Amino acid sequence: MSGNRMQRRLWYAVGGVLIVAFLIYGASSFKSNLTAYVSFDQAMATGHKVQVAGSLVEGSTRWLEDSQELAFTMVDENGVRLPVVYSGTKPGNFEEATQIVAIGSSRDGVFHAEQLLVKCPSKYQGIEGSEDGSEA
Amino acid sequence: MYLPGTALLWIAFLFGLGSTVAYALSLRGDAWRKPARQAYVLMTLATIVASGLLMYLLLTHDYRLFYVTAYSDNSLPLNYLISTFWAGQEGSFLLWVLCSSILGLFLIRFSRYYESRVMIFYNLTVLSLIMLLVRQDPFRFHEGLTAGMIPMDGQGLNPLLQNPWMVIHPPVMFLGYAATAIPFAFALAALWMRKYDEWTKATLPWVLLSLITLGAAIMLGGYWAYETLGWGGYWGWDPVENASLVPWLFTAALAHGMLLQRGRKRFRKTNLILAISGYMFVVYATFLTRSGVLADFSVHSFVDLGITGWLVFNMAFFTLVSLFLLALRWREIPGEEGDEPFLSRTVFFVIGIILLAALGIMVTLGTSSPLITRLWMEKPAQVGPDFYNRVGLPLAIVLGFFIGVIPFLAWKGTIASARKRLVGILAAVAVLVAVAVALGVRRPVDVVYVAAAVFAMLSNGWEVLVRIRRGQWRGAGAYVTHLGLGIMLLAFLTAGLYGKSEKIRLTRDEPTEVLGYTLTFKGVEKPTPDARDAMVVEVSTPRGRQFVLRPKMWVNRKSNQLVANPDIKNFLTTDLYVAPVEFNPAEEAPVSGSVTLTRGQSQAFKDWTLTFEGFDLSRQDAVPGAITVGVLVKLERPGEPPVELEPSIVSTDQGVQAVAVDIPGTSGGKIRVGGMNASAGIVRLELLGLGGGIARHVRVHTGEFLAYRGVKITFDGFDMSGFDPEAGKIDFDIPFTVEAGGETTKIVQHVRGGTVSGPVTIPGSGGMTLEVGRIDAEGGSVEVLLFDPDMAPAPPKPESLVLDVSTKPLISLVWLGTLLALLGMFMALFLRRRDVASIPVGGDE
Repeated sequence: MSGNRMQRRLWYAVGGVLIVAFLIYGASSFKSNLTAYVSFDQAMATGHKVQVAGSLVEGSTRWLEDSQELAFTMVDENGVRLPVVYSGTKPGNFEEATQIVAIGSSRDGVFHAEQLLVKCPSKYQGIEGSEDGSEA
Repeated sequence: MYLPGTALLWIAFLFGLGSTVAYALSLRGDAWRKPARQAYVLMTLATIVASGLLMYLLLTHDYRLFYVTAYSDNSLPLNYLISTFWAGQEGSFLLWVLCSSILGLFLIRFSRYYESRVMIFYNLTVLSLIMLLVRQDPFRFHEGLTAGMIPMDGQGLNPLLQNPWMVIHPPVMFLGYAATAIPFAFALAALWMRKYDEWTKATLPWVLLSLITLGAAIMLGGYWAYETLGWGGYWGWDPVENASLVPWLFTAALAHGMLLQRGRKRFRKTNLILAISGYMFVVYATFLTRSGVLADFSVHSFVDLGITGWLVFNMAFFTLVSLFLLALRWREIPGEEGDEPFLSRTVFFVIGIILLAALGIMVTLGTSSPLITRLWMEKPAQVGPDFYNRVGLPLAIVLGFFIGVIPFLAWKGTIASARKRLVGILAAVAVLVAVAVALGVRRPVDVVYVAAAVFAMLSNGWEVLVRIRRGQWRGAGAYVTHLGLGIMLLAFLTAGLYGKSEKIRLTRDEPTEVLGYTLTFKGVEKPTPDARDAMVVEVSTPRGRQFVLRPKMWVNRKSNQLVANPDIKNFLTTDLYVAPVEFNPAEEAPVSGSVTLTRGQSQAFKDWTLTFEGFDLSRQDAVPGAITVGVLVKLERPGEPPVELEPSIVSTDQGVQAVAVDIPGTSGGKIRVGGMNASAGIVRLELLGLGGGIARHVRVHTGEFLAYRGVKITFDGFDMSGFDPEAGKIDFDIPFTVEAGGETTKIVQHVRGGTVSGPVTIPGSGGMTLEVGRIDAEGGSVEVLLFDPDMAPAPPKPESLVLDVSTKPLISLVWLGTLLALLGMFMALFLRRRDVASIPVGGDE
C-alpha cells in the first residue's frame, strides 16, 4: 500500500509540475498574442502586431495586381489616414462596412493587415452572421 | 405592438411563474404537483402559439412589425423566409425559449422524484429568457407607426445568411443551449435534496443529449463557414464560436466525471461544479456576445443591443443561487477514497477531465481578454487565433494519447489480456507515423501530434471491432466517439497546416496550372435573372479527372453588398477549395476612328469604304425584353468582296448598350454604333481595334509642349480676346503652335458656348489629330489628346478572374470524424437512458 502511495505522490508531483508548466506556457502565449488597440500614429510608429479601427475611405479600394493584394485607406475619427494592404480574402461586405478593424503591423510606411474584421450596420447577425477575412 | 403576440409572451411568463411557485408548494403537499405541471404545459403552449404567430407574420410579410421589416423582404424564398425567425436577437431568444419549454416537457416526464426541485430551477432559467423577450418584444411595431407608414417591403436578410445552413444551424444550437440547462437544474436539485450520487444516474442521459446537440451545432457552424463564406477555414476562434465550444468542453468533462463518480465514487464535488458551470458559461457567453463588450473584437457581436443589464442580472442571480447551495452542502458531500495505481482508468479520467476543463478555461480567458486586459491596460487588447492553437496543441496531444490508452485500462489497473494488442497497435502507429513523415510532416511537435491521433484512432477502432464481434455494440458508444475524435484530431492538423494555397489570375479560355491542377476560366453563367452569377471554371487533375467548379460572386440588390461563395471539390484525401477574389470584365479594343454618315452616304477610313444603308427594326426577338435597332453597314475593301454588317443598339430597362460586330478579315477589328439620330437618319459608327489610338493624353500649361514622334505641340495660352461675360460673350480660343514634318503651323481650338471644337488633323504628321479635353481656365492648363493612326492597337483585354485556390488535405475526415463521434454519443445515450428507469418516481422528497 505505501509503495502505491509513494508512487501516487510521485505522479501527483509530476502532474503538478506539468500543470504549472502548462499554465506558464499559457500565460506567456496569452501575453505574446495580445494585440492592443492603438491609434493610427502609434501603429505606424511601432512594428508590433496591433489592432486599428477606423472607417473606409470611399473609393480608395483597389487591387494591386503585382503583389495580389487589396489596398485601401482607412480614416479614423480625427481624420488621420492610414494606407493598408491586405492579402487575404476580401470580406463580404467590405465596402458597406461602418467600421473596419485591421489587425497587423506596419512596415515601410504601409500597414500590412493579417486579419480584417468588418462591422456591419446595426443588425444582429445571428450565430454565424459574418466572416472575417483572414489567412489560415 | 402586435397585441396577441405580446400578450402570449406575458401569458407564458405568468404561467411559468405560476408553475415555479406551484412546484415550490408541491414540496409541502403533493397535490400541487398537478397544477404545476399544467401551468408548465400552458406556458409551453403559449410559447408555441407565440412562435407560430411570429412565423405567420413573417411569412405573410406583415411589415408593421419592426422585426419583420428588419430581417425579411418580399423576395426571399420560403426556406430563408422561415429562417428569418431567428435572424435577429428577439427571434433567436424566442427560438431558445421554444426549445427550452418543449424540452422541459420531457424533463417533467423523466426526472422521477427530482421533478419538483429540478423544475423549479429549470423554470427559472426559462423565465429568465422570457424576461428578455418581454424587455425586447419581437412583436413591437415601428415607433410611431401610422397607417400610411407601413413599409411595402422589408430590409431583407443579410446575404451571408441566405444559405441552407441558416435554416438548420441555429435551431440545433439553441436546442443545445437549452439542453445544458438540464444538468444545471439537476445539480442544484441534487444539492438541495442531498442526493450526491444518484443524481448522476438521472442526469447522464441529458448530459449526453447536450453534448450531441451542442456538438452537432458547433460542427454545422464550422461546415457552413467552410462551404459558404470563402475564407477557407471552418473555425476562426471568434468569440461567438468559442462561446459555444466552452460549454461543450465543460459538459464533456462532466460526462466523464459522472462516469468516474459511478465507477469509483470520485469527483462528487467537481461534477456538481461542472454541471453548474456548463449552463453558467452559456449565460456568460450570451452576455459576451450580446452586450457589446466585445463589439470591437468580433464580427459576430455588435453594439449594445439593450439587454446588457438583464444579462448581468441573470448571471449574478444564478451564480449566487448556485454558490449558496454549494456552500450550504459542501461539507456534507462525502469525500473521496481510493488507491488506484497510476496506470488505471481512474487516474487517466481524472487528468483527462482536468485537461478538458483547462482547455475550456483557456478558451474562456482568451475570449474574455478584452475584458481582462481592461484591468491593467488603458486600451483593451485581444488575443489572436494563434493563442488558441498554441495552447490547444499540447492539450490535444495529451488527450489524444489518453484516448488511445483508455481501452487498455480498467478502473483499478491495466487489463493484462490486452498487452499483446497494445504492442501490435504501437507498431502500427510507428509505421503510420513514418508514412506521415514521408508525406511531409516534419516539425517534431506535429509528428508527436500525429502519433497521438493515430494511436487514438487505432486503439479505439480495434476496441470497437472487438465489441461488435462480441455483440456488445451498445457498450461500444464511447469507443466509437473516441475513434471519431481521433480522426478529427488528425484532420485538424492536416487540413489546417498542410494545405497549400495560391492566388492566381485566370484569363478566359487560357488553361493555367495551379497546385498541380489545370484550371480554365470559361466565363460567367447566369441561368436565370434571379440566379447568382457563377464563374464557370473547368478543372482537370493530374490524373486526368475533369470537372467544373462554380464559385459565385453576386451583388445583393438590397444592401449593394458583394458576396463571394467558394466552390469545393471533395476528393477522398483532400478538398480542392476555390474562392473568387476579383472579376474583371472584358475590355473592348480602343476606338481607332469614327465616321458619321447619313443614309446612303459613303466615307473612307483607311482602305475601307463604309456605306450606311439603313436601319433594321426587324430583329426584335434578338434579345428578349429589349428593343433592338440594327444599323446596316456595307464595307468594301479593294480586292475583297463587299460585306454587310449589322451592329445594333439594344435598349433595356437597365439602359442602352451598343453591340459591336466583328469585321471579317481583321484580327480583333469591330464596328459599333457610336450614336444615332433616327429622325434625321444620321448614324455615327465607331471602328475598334483597327490600329491607332490615343498616343498621348497629357495636361499642358501655357508655354509647355508635348513631343511625340517628330511632332511638337506647344500650348500658347488661352486667347481671351473675345471673352466678355458682361456683354454675354463667353467664347475663347485655345491656340497651339505645331511643328511637324519640318513645317510650323498654328492650330486653334475654339470654345463656343461652352462646347469645344472637335479633333483637328495635324498637317505633315501622317494623319495624327489633336483634340482638347478638360480645360482649367484658372490654372491656365488644358488636356491634350493626340491620336496616332499608326499606333499599334492595344489588344482587347478578355475577361479574367482572380481566384484563391487551396488544397485542404484530409478535411473530409473532420466531417467523417464528427459523424462518428455523434454516432457514438447516440449509442451511449441509448445505453444510459435505461438507468433512469431504476430511479423511483414519487415519494422520498
